[in-house]
Amino acid sequence: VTQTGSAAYHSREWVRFDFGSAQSATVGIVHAHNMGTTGTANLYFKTADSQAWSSAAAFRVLTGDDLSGKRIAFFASQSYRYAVLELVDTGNTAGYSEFGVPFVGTYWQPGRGFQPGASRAAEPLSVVVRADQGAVYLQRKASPKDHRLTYSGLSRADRDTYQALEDDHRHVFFAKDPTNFPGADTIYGVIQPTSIGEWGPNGDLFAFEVVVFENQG
Amino acid sequence: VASRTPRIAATLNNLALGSGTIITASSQETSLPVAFLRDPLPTRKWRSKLGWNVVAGYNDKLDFTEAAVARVATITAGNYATGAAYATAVQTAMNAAPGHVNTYTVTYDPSTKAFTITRSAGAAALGLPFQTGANEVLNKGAHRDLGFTDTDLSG
Repeated sequence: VTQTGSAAYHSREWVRFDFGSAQSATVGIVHAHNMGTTGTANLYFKTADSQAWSSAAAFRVLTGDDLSGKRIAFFASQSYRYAVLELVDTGNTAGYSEFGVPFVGTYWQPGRGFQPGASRAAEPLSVVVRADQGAVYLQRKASPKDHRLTYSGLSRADRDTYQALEDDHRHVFFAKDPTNFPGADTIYGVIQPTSIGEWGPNGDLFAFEVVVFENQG
Repeated sequence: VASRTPRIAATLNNLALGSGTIITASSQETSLPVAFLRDPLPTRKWRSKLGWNVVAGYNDKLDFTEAAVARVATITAGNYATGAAYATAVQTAMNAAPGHVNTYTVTYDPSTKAFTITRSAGAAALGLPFQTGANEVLNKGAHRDLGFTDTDLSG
């Protein structure tokens, strides 16, 4: 009596986050992983460390339309003390699991969408070098993208929230189109401080351009 | 013109990287620890130890049946860098499972990278309930680490 499985190169792995107390989360992301388009990324929530995996309080599969770049899921608010990101990728010939940026927390969504005309421009970092004898070489470097879009007519509350994010000067996952392209149109990078224009009859509407600089590491 | 409404997930609201958050992992390479996840650079990564990492309460159980009687093998927690080492650990666990009557051999083929479970002695029918076993719920048994899918096997 013999049973043989499929090729396996390593075990499933996980990373656990203990928030110290129950905290609300509405989005989970695994970025810069080594699963390619295969494997599965799962997000578990637990009330206690000792809680069995099989009876986790909540469970989400992180997916999206950019599987090789980032796995992502938006969901209704969950409030638990523990979150665990699990990578199921035993067929990966690398023999290990890895990722660079995790996100478990809440997202902010302004009351209005951005204006038509968003842009994406590459920063050409590659450099052409000419040798003394005249030969031309190209020092190839990756081209991170700058993403620009404009908000108009945001409320004071939205402006305040945006300013808080901007003033934090840390990285963001900026999901431009979370409904249709939750992965491919989600940019990981930093936002450039911007000038915020005030308009409207009572100075209660606000407009500004957002520039997100992609971080390719 | 219809507009799209972005969602911004900012580090400011990233509980995973909160200053009070304690981060642990099933395993980690010494040179690529989970502490690297606090660095915003995507290239500063956490990486698991090479091979099979068994953690008690997570992937240390393997359900099987003998003549329809449920058995549970408990694999010793730790890192098994090679498939051969992990196969030996699983074999040891199956042959030490409480109540077992058969003897099992577990091997890892280095060319196909596949594990094989064999009843090498005994007559009790072997079942591998990788879908319905008590420890396989939500895929938390060891069967996936052995390359098996969530399917009950018998014979």
